[in-house]
Amino acid sequence: MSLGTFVQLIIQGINMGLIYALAALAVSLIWNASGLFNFSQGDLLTLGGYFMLTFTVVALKLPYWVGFALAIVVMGTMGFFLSRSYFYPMINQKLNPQLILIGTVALSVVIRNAILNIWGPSAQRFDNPFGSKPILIGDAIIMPYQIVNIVIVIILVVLLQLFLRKTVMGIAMRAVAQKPVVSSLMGIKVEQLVSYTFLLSTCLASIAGVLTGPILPLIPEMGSLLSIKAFAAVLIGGLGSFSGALVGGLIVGISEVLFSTFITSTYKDVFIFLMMMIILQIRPGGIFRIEISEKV
Amino acid sequence: MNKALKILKDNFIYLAFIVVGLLPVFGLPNYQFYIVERGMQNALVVLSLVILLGFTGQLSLGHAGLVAVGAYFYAITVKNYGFSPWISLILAPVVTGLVGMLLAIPSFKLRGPFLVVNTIAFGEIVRILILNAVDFTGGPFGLKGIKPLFSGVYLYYFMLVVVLIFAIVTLRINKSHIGLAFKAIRDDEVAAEIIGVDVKKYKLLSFVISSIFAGVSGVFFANLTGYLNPDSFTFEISSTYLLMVVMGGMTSTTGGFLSALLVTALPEVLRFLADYRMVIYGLILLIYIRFYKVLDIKKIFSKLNFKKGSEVVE
Amino acid sequence: MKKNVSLMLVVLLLFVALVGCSKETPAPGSSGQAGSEEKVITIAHMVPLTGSASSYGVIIRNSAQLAADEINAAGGVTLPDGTKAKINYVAVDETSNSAQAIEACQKAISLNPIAMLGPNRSGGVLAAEPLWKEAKIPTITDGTSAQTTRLGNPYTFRMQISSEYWIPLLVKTAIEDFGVKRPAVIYGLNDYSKANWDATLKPMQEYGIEPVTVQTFNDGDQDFSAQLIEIKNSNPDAIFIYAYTPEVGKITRQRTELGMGDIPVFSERAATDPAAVDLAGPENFDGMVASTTLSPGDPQFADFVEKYETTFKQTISGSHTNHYDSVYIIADIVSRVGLDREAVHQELLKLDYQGALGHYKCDEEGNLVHHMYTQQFKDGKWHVLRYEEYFD
Repeated sequence: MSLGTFVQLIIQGINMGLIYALAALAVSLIWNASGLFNFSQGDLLTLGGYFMLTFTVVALKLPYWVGFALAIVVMGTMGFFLSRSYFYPMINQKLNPQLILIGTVALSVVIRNAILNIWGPSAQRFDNPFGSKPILIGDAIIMPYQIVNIVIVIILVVLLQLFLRKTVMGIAMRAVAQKPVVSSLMGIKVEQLVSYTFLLSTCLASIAGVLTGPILPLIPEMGSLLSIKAFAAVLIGGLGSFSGALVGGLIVGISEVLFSTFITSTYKDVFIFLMMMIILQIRPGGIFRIEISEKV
Repeated sequence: MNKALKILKDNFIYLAFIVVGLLPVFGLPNYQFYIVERGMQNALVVLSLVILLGFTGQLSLGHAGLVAVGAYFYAITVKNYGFSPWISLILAPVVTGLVGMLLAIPSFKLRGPFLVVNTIAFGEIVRILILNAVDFTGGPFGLKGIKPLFSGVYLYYFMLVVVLIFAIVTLRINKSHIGLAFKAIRDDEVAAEIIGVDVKKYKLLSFVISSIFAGVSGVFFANLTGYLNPDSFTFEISSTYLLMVVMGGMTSTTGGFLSALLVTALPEVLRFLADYRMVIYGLILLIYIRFYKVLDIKKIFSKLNFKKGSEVVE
Repeated sequence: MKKNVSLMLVVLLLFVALVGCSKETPAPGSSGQAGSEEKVITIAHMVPLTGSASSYGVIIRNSAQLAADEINAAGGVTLPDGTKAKINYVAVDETSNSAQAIEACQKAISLNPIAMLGPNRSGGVLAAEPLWKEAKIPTITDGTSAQTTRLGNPYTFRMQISSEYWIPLLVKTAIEDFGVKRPAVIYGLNDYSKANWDATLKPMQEYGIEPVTVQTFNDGDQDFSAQLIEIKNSNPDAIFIYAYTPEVGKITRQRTELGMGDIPVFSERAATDPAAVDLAGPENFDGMVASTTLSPGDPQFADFVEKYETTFKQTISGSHTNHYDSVYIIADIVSRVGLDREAVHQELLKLDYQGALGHYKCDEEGNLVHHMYTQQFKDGKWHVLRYEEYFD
């Protein structure tokens, strides 16, 4: 195998890996803010993709970036209200966390089937304006969207870090995550913050959903397929850790492609899961295991 | 009047079984008959989760994998190796129990979402292995022509009796010292350890018992459908089992049994909604969970386990 | 206390009610005379309206529905005794899942149909066929694996070409018409695709040709770079794709992304689904050769294609419309022998019928279709390449 082909594979792995990483980040954010593990994250991601489909192809035929922005706005709003009306009240009631978790499983069923009913069972796709002619760098064949995706995520990560460390709301979010009681005593409205965190998390999920556009065909079941790997990513990297989500996502994305190419594609999922199970046994919290002080 | 009601409440589960037992007598067309049988088969899995999740607090989203182990073991031994169906009926849950140990071991160090994702991974690994062992399991073509233990009405009543026995076992566990240990683990693992509960041993026991139940359910599945295919043992099926347990109140044996029957038959009820039934079902569950505390549903169903003079640690 | 008990009672009664109530539904009898004024010919169709085969499941259903609607609009079927009967076409979702096919079949049988159509997937046929054998209901199935009609079930008929026939035609087209010498194969690990692969090797070997590489993928996989890179390394001059529609589309597209856009692709049923073109992107799909039972490129079907596309406002798929004729066949038989299921069965066994979409003749395995095409997608349309018929 030539170096070029190898690089090509790595870029592929990074692309998928970053999508897993975004989903993992979304999960970690909510986990930090509310102690809730959102099982419907993958389906929210898929929903983002479907909204993009509607905005750019099916109904409105808007340009790519406009549709993208609109999808993010719609999904973010949805996340906000989900938290406001559904999840936060339950957290506040101190409902058994397992039950709330099961609630997210039920939510995932609802979203997946609602997508099926609204958009139909056939696979669909929306186009991207980055061109369909591959770029040739030596031996490597790179598609334009692959570069664009990576750039988008890098910018996003930088913006997020700036937000969380430099802005008032971002710092407040981190405060709530680390010390909810103290935060509320200091005048931070915990409920609002949690809802804004949900909003942020859903936005991330929808961005990930749009980014999968050129890679995966849009089917209602896409959520379940992605979820499991995204969960593996977040646990491997460390639940609640920003860098953990990124690293975990990249590990899963890249090893998936490498294992698939060099060993066998049939068992690549088995490999990922076994890898996760072993890592969890050796280091139960994940690689960037979260001590309270290190939360996002 | 109150005394009569109390007796009814304590023994409701037996009433439920009698009603189900009488259904064929009053005439049940083929399709509904099959649905009730599937309901009973699902009830076994729900009971297995009542023990694992309801009593011991270990959440599994990989139980479809355990059911698959039971089903395929029975099918392969009976069909390809000529085992007697009765021997396979006994062996399958044993094998599933052993496999369940594999699931238990990660649970010693993992909690919460870490454990759950682990169980999902387990379920998927089982399914993919089955899918690819084509020579053994028929892979995507599936395994057909599985000889059942009984057919027709006899299978119905056999399943009824077996499920009843397992339900009684669950009730017994609930009241026993084993059940107490399970619940201690569920409520506060650290505290349980401190007061001397061997957490590892009881977690293992809970997983193994749960797996045995699931294994028997698998055998019944193979008997009912006569055909196995890996696409019957997916993550989505595992989520459905979980949702059934929740509907039944998580810790209640009676609730679990009723919930399994009801949810299995639900597609029939919602037939007129046809395409939308899964969304409606999910929504019902969302609302149910949302107002769980408000309606105090948990308390209602957990009281079903309340037998005279016994204590239920909640 | 009272609240608890009444809740449980409600649940139990609800269960009994919904189980028991369902039998009250008047079963539209195949004898049709169940007290209703109108006689009814019930045809139950097990079709994948959800799941992986759903994109063409809808087309399958629409085709049959079209036939039923046409017949009813023309006044229905005239029975031998002079009375008229309408067609009661009912579609039951078999969810593309084999075990669910059993449930769908139970449901379909409970409707007391005179004949049934489907299931679509070979796995579903294998799963459910003991049921219609026991119920003695003639069933016209879809699955293309050869074995489905070889199970000794006299009630199984097939309205599709077995992969044993149209795969060799595909291979023949590739080798004789396109000069293919180094084919690569990629197929999905499901019953449908694997059967297609199984039917490929022998005809290739008869030409003295071996595939340069054979790649597989798991159902639900969406990234084929590993397999395609292997294929690229083996330097093929053609790629055979056996998969469901979403994967056919993706593989066709991804091959271009990996620099193999000028390597021709060969596929079959799933590729004739218009969704495949969308998913692959028309530029990437151009040149695709696929085998099918009806080619929209054949001028004799122009009317039917137009009728379908105007009625349902969707592009037709060549391999998924046969049940249009199934419904007409059943209607025709009933008009001759009346509402007698066993007589219908007997007539099906000796079928020799010219339908709108082809000529149907029943062979000893129950196969009804013996004609096939290979066609090529060029400039947005399918063009016929070859046509063959076989009758033992």
